[in-house]
Amino acid sequence: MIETQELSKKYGATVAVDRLSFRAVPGRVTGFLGPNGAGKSTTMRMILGLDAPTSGSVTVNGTPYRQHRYPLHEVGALLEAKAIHPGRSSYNHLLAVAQSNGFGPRRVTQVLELVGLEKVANKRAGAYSLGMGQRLGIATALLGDPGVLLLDEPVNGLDPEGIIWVRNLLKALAAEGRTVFVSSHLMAEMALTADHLVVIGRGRLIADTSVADFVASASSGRVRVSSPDSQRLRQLIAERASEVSPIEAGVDGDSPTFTVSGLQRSVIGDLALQHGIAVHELTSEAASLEQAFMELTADDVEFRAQDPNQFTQHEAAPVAASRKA
Amino acid sequence: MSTIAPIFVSSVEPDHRPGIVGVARSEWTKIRSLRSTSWTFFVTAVLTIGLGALFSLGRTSGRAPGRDPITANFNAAGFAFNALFLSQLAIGVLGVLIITAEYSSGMIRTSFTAVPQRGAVLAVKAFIFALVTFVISALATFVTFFASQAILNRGTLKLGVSITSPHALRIVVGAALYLTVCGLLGVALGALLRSTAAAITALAGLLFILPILMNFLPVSWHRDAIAQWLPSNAGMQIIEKATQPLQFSPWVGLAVFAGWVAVAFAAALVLLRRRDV
Repeated sequence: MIETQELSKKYGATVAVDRLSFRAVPGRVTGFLGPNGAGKSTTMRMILGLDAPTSGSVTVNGTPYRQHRYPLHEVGALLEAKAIHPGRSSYNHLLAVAQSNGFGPRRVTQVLELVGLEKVANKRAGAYSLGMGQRLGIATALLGDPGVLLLDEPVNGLDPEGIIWVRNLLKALAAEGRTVFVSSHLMAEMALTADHLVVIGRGRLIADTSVADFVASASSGRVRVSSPDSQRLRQLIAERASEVSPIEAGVDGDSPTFTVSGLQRSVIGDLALQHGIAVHELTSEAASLEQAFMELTADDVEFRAQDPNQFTQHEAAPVAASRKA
Repeated sequence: MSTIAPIFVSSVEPDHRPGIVGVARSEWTKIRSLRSTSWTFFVTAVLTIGLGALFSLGRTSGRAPGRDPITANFNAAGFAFNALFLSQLAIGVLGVLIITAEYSSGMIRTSFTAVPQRGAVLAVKAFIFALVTFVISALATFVTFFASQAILNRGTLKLGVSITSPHALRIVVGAALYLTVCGLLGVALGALLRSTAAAITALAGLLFILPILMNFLPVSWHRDAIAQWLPSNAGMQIIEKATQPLQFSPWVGLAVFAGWVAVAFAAALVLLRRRDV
């Protein structure tokens, strides 16, 4: 169990984390989502007692981290991949970390096998790819077989096979009753991995909710309808629905389509049947986690690129002008 | 969640009771598992022995009885250890690196996550490093002593002394202690400044540049009274046969040097507790 209360961190005038309160409970994967610069890593460092909060508090299993004496048996963490001396082998790296908490070579060999690094265990870590570095970081976190796991962007730099491996590993660890707290800026990945989401933007809590509720809360509620007789069907629906879009011509021989707001699919389907109109498509436009995230954090992104369309227009204009001249 | 999650019980038990001995094992693993560390120890030893022998050779070559203005004050036992001015830098840099390399790689976060008692980590790290440094330095200084005496005894000059002669053992062991304190100065500066470049600059400044600067100060500024307190000046008195004019006695000098390092360590420990990692 990880619990923060009114947790804040200021660097001079900059507020990195702003009165953040949430709980990550055992038995589920809690995704920690936010755009870059939202304060995810700062929060993680505060949980681990590496950074001191400006105000507020955070406990792991009911105790502030720095009061744990030899905590690897309770908490495992991956903060950054390849946070290891490039000249040291992963075996010796893991051994040094293990020994500090009373574990020995036996356990090191076990975690090396668990993450699939046993064949390169004696190679210098400097030669590792980012993906291998992530595996080594996960091995380090698992050394003490802890009940609480904190992982900062664990799938960064992994290949598809590695991503699936991490996803399944995290789910399995949570299923054993562990607290799994994992940060990411990849919404799609979190949709597949996490049970619960803590979303932050500019250091503030935006949402603390289940993944399903998070998506539902941002759903458009629109239904997409496609029919060979779109004209007539649209007419019928327009009398009942709050909003109906203009008809778009079908592509590649598909029927023309339009979208409806404020009417359930079943109502539309029944209506079409009553009037003998064929329906080729009837789908709810559920927002993806990505869309939900973008909508929720739209005002809380610290670094935003210019709109690409705007950008190209600005760039294109002088070129066009010079061509004319 | 609809299902009730099982209560997690770890199936893996530590092999040893976690404690300060485990932290010492961990730091020993860190020291012995880097090839660059072994190399730097080796370079320190080679510099000490090689330059010591060279200095001794230079002192004897071309000299003959009568033509050599040798006085009774010649410090035969300690002469070769004037060469420590170079090996002190090698061991000091290694001291810096064993801590700053953890900061530059990010390993320090793993170390302090595994053992949140940061002061204990630094203290144990310094202790293990000091132990290894003293053993290797002592081996080097004993070899240097015997090589140096053999060279000084060449030809007709016979300047060499035996290890049982007055002060010889103190000088040889003291030289190893001096190198150990230099290494610890590096560790303290590294922990204080957390950057390799900054800490090595500070180390070179304290051991090399400060004594040179001192020579150019006006004597009326109590130059000599101040100079005896300089870290390397005070520490190097341990290789003298007898107390030098305007200097501390050998053991007091080394203690003054160690005192400076202790002050740096105390500052590093206070900051370590307060600063974010």
